Amino acid sequence: MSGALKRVAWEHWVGLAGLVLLGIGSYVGLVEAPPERYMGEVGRILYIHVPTAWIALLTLTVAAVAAGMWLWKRRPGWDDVQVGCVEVGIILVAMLLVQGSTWARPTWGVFWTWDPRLTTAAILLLAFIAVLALRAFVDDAYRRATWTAVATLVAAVDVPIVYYSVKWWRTLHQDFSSPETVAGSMTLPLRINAFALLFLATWLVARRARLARLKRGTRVLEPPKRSALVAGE
Amino acid sequence: MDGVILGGWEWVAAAWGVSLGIFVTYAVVLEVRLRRARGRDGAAGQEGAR
Amino acid sequence: MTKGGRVGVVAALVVAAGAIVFLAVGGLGKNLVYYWSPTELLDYAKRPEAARDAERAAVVRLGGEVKPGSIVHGDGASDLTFVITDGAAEVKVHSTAVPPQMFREGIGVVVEGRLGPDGVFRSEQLMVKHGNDYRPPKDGEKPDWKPEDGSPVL
Repeated sequence: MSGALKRVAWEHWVGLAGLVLLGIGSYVGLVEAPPERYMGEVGRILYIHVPTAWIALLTLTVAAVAAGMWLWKRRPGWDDVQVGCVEVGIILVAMLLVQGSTWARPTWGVFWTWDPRLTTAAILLLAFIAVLALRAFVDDAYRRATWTAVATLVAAVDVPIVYYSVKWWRTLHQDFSSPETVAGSMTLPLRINAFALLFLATWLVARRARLARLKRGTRVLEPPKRSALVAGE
Repeated sequence: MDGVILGGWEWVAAAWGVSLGIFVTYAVVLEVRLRRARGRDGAAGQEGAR
Repeated sequence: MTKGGRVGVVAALVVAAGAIVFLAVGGLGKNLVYYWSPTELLDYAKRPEAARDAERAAVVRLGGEVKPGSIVHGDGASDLTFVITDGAAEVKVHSTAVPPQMFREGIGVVVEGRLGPDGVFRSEQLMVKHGNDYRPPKDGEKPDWKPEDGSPVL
């Protein structure tokens, strides 16, 4: 650690790549790409909104996978990944709602309406905040990981519901877009920003997982016997 | 035009600015938490120790 | 774990489970309808419960396409009359909401309000639905495009 070439944690390189890509994607989206025919400049919000949506749902899906892996393998690393994905997923969904509202006001005419897509997305945010709240109340590390995993799996039921809400129900929110419905000049910033946010989310999840590992220290998580309580977070 | 909800660059700036502001705030808080955790735990907290 | 902690755990689990149950069997089941089409609204207006709902001043959402050529401006920009159609039925709408710039003939809209006894739907909330296609302006067009026939977009 004390050498001249100080080792930089691997996730910082991922974060740096994400930052560079976000810069390029934002430049392409804000400067190079044309304004949308009807929405005008406001349509550019979708270049950050749509990638944020993809990566938010992906992050919360990975949270559910990590939760399942903890319940199956009981390796503490899965709890670290799980809490990282839940926290970062909450941040991404919060960003998503802010971007969506800012786009909706000039386009739809309202900041918010209780249409199925928006309602299920709001429930997603609240459900995962509840997961973190639950986690904060459990002192024992082993139980905390298990309870978080169960709650995460329950909350993650909403992830596919959010995704398919525009197919299943009538919504004000638009249906999925596809390469056929998006002009070629507009797909490039979407793709670049998707990778940018994927890398940035990976960076944050890795940082949060590292924090969880630091707090755990060298202790091994064990099922609580009679008095095997370890200090909580 | 009068009496119309108009869109423009200020909405684009708000969407980018506020949402990335949330992201940056979380990232900064996370680094502070990491630093504190290292300060408390000493050797166990070294980057890349494991 | 402290007693307070246990209560918190239970409370948090109830919130999480409640959210999911709400999704599964509550308001967001297969029956959830965000808006009615003109056909559905007119069918509903014939049923007895419509009178009961009218007494409670129940607000409903009506969605459809703005019929081309039907937009009439009253006093001020926000006083609008237009017809919403689903191809089969039509409902005349009087709206007092400030419309977003996207509002124009032929676009999808959702309005919140009530169907009056005179058959006019009175609305104080006008929302424009954007489809899922995104195109740059055509050659020579300004991004804030207006219909070529010169009909007012407003």
